[in-house]
Amino acid sequence: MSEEKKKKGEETPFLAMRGIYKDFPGVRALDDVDFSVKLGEVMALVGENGAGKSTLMKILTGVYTKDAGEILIEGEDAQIVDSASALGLGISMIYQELNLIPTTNIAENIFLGREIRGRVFVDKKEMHRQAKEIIKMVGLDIDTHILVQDLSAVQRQLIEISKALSVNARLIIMDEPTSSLTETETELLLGIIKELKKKDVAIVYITHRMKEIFEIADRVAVMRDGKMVTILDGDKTDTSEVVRHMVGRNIDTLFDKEEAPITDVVLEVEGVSTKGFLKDVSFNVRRGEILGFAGLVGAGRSEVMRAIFGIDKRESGVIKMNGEEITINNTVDALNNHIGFLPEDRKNQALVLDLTVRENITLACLKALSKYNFLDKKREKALSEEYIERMRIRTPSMEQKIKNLSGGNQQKVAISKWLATNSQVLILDEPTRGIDVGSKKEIHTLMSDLAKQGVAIIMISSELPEILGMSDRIVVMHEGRVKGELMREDATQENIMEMAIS
Amino acid sequence: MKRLLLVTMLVVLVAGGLLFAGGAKEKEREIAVVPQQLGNVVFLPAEEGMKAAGKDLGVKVLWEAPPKAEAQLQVEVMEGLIERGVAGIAISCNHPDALQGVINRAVAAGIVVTTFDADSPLSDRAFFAGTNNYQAGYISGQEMLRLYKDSNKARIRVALLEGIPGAFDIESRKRGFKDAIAGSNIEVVYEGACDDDVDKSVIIVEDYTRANPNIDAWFMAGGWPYIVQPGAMPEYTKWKQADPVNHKVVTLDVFPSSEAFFDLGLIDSAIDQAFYQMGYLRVKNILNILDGKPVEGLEDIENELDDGSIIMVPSIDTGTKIVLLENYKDYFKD
Amino acid sequence: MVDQREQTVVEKGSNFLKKWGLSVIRSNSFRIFIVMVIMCVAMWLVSPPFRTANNLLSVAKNFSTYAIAGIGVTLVIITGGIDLSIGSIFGLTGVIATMAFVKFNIPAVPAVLIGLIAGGLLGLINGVFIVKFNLPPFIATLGMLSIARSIAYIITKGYPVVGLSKGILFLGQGEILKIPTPIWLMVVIAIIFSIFLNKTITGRRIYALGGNEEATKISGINTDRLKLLVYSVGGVLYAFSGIITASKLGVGQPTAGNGYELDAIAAVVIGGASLTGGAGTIAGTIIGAAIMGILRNALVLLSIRSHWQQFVIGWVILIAVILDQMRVAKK
Repeated sequence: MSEEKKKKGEETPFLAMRGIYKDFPGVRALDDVDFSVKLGEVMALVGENGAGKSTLMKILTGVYTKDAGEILIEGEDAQIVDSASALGLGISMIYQELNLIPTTNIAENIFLGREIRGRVFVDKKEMHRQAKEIIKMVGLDIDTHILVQDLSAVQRQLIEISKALSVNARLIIMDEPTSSLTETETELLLGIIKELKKKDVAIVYITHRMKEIFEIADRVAVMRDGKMVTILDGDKTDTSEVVRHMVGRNIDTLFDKEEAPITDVVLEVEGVSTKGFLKDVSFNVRRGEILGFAGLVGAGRSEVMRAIFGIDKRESGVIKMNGEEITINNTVDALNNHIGFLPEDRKNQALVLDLTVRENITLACLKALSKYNFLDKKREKALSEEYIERMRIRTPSMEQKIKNLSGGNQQKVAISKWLATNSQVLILDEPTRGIDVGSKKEIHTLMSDLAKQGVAIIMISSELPEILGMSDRIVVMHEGRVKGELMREDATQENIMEMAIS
Repeated sequence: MKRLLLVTMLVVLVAGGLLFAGGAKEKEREIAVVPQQLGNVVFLPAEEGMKAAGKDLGVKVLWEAPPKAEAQLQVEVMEGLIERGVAGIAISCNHPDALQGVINRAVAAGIVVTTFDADSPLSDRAFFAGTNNYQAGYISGQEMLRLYKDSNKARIRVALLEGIPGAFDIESRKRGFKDAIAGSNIEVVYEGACDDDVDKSVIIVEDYTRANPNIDAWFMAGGWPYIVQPGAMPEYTKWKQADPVNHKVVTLDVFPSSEAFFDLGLIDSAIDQAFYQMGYLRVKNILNILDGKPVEGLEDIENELDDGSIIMVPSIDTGTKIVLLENYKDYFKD
Repeated sequence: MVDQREQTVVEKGSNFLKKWGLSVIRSNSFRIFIVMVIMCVAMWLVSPPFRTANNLLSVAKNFSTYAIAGIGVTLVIITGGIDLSIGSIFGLTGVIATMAFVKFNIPAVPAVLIGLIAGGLLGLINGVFIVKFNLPPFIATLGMLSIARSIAYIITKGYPVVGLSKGILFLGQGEILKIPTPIWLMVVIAIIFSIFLNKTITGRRIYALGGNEEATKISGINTDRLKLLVYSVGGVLYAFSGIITASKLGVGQPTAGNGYELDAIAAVVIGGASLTGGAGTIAGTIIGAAIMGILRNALVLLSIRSHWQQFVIGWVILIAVILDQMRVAKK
């Protein structure tokens, strides 16, 4: 490299993204985002779920195309049209769900798609020899014949990194790399990252873990609602400043639960644990109350509900309804005890795509609409009409097959299904995700109405304003445990976030 | 709980297997008979004959049938028998060439091998017994000629029923039949295949007869339709009884249930390949060879191979029994 | 002043017919129904023997047993499963019923019931292996295929069961109002199961299970019980089909029904069911069985060589499924 370029390198960042815009139907995912990274620096990228971090990275790695803006690599305009072009420019991403094939060995994984060939066959000897050299770069000195499934979590991470290095990655994006690592393994990984810095590799580090950020990040980029809010100096900032930028928005009065009489405890959960994840989760909820569950994705909120509802196996835990202990071993038990659960993954867990709108709405309450096993079609139709109207579901008729509806309307059908079950305890996992603003209000009104009728509602939400607006009480979870509980009056976005992150 | 059940099942299976295996430790002589397939009614008399011989002559007999009429499966059965070290094997080959290799291996291993019903002429087997399928078909053709010898019709139209198209034994029978009637005024105008399924054979015969009530004759290259009751074939019955002089039926294979059809005059001539005898004599003759005694009825018979060449084959002609409408009662007396 | 809400009987009637007509035309089975009609018309024109009442009744009698077994496996296929043991259960229960009648002198009706119960139990065993031991239906029923068949050989020692008389022969050889009994039985079973699938909540749950097992489970429906149910009911229907056939032929055979599963499943698939589950109708299965029956009849009446039989049937299945895929894709 010439002297000139070297000098330039110190001023010109390796990557410069300027004025990036990206829209999806109904939402602006990226709004005039500027983002740059220098060689040899670790840039932390933080923000709430839905802030735009992954969208930005997907544009960088060629998975999405930007609507507007420019991307410069080493000062030159770069055309990133697909993942191949991104790789060609030296940009590599290591996903949370690693891209390795567990049943093949290390060398084969590293050389996936670009096997070293002899005249006819793959030259295995050469492949393993080169692989061994490559993994040395990340400090691994193990047999390259070992299958990936026999490696530890951190070793797999390191293989992924070495794979990226072997294709001459200059910029490596790591998405939540330590989420499945132990303390020691995390330390090991951070050590390797520091080594990579010395080798002039640029690293974008996406994480929620403040501790790690302050250990290795040179700069911290904070995103919120699709905008790049600020870039902070790693040495000079602290957790509360970062959190403040992550969260600082006006609390919308859009979401506001109406007053409802809160009476006795209807559901008590004590000491729920599951294998390897949930630890000793306890809480209770009263009639007329809306209990909000906050926390980061992966904190264990959905897992708790699935365990209570009988979908997943519990290792321990006692569940009481109206003071009496009940057994819930499967979903049939749960429904018999008047508990309802709207899962987060509507498409796969709440809807049967081949059936019609009417059939989906009534799927969980068929027994109530029947006599001696025979379905009362009249009542079924009436019920479907009712919910199509109340939820403003847009469909040509109730006989339309669900797969022909838009995503948002499919959500509404899923919610209707559970509202129709007249449960005493209704668990809603992200009830308004993917739904337009007008209908969000509608659903919240419905939730308030239900509360007034004495239903106990547990609401999992990743939208802090929704949590603050609708909950009477808030439970915050973090990595499988209940971190704390807040009353509505005492809760702020900041203190919820702090509990969720630490 | 689930695991406990599985382990228990496994233990029971293994223990059972060991027990049975343990039982076979005594080294008495075993003679195995290998028919073409399990469940084919045609071979049942042979099994009876074999068992009777085993009892009379005091030797252990095995009926080893492959589940389907496939040469490869028979080869596997044979290999199993070689491993087991049986003293003698009598086999009805699903295909002459496919079984040749394993027969030779058995002979090389010191096992006495004979064939019955369907031969493997080029192999090392000691001899062949029975009337081969081609012969049986030829005889059927001769019967058909005989039945129509007094007729003055210009053309006699025959419908033919077969099993699985291309199956070696039935093809041989068909060829024999067609060769016998070649040059005469009898010709085959339809060939229907029932895939060895009795139900399908009835449907084909019924449907065809209903649609072609003026057909002159039926030749059944296998006895499937006669396993059922005559009441299951109303069209066939109507057709046959409408004109007994000109409507004739020749069939191969005779079963106990065929008697009911004879009673109603629904069969004119049935050719039986003496399977009972085949089963009985197999065992007897193999025992004779093992004990160094002479084999009765053995002589060299001319045999024409597929490619037209003629070889001399040591065979015992167990003969075919022709059961006629006129004398069937004698046949069924036993 | 006319009360506008009052409709005359005529208007009500014609509205109903219009609605019903439209629902029939829009239904999945309509397409293959047209195919079947076209086949019939073609045969009618080409082959005089086809037109006789005798022939038509015979064709219907012969495909009704395929239809009954087909209805049994339709339920299984709607849930996304499969059953390869159809033919073996068909054969074994035919033998059980006839042996009960002939060897143990049990009167016809109880003998048939014993056969049906045996079929239900065999089906239940299939279900248990699928539900409790988590075996894929293909594997579980494949095992039953061999086991049931070998039991049939063992209890009969390979010999057919003969000596069936009056009582039990009525099932397969009898007639009611000049129409063979098997046809009546097929119609009755078709109506019963059609009502079951369309009007009961269990029927609705079966469709849901096939469409999305996880979502159905989460909706609080006992999917294990449903599976046990469909395999058991299937077993009973295969048994019914096998017993009717044994009665039709007047003999119980241990080898009966070999390969029947392929014919039964073909009928269901031609009828428009999806092998991945969630779709399928009784009417479709019956039409599928009818199409195959007409085809077999056509091959004989047109004197087409047996070698071509399998060729034609194979193509019919492929074309039927392709047509169905096209219909689904269009939406």
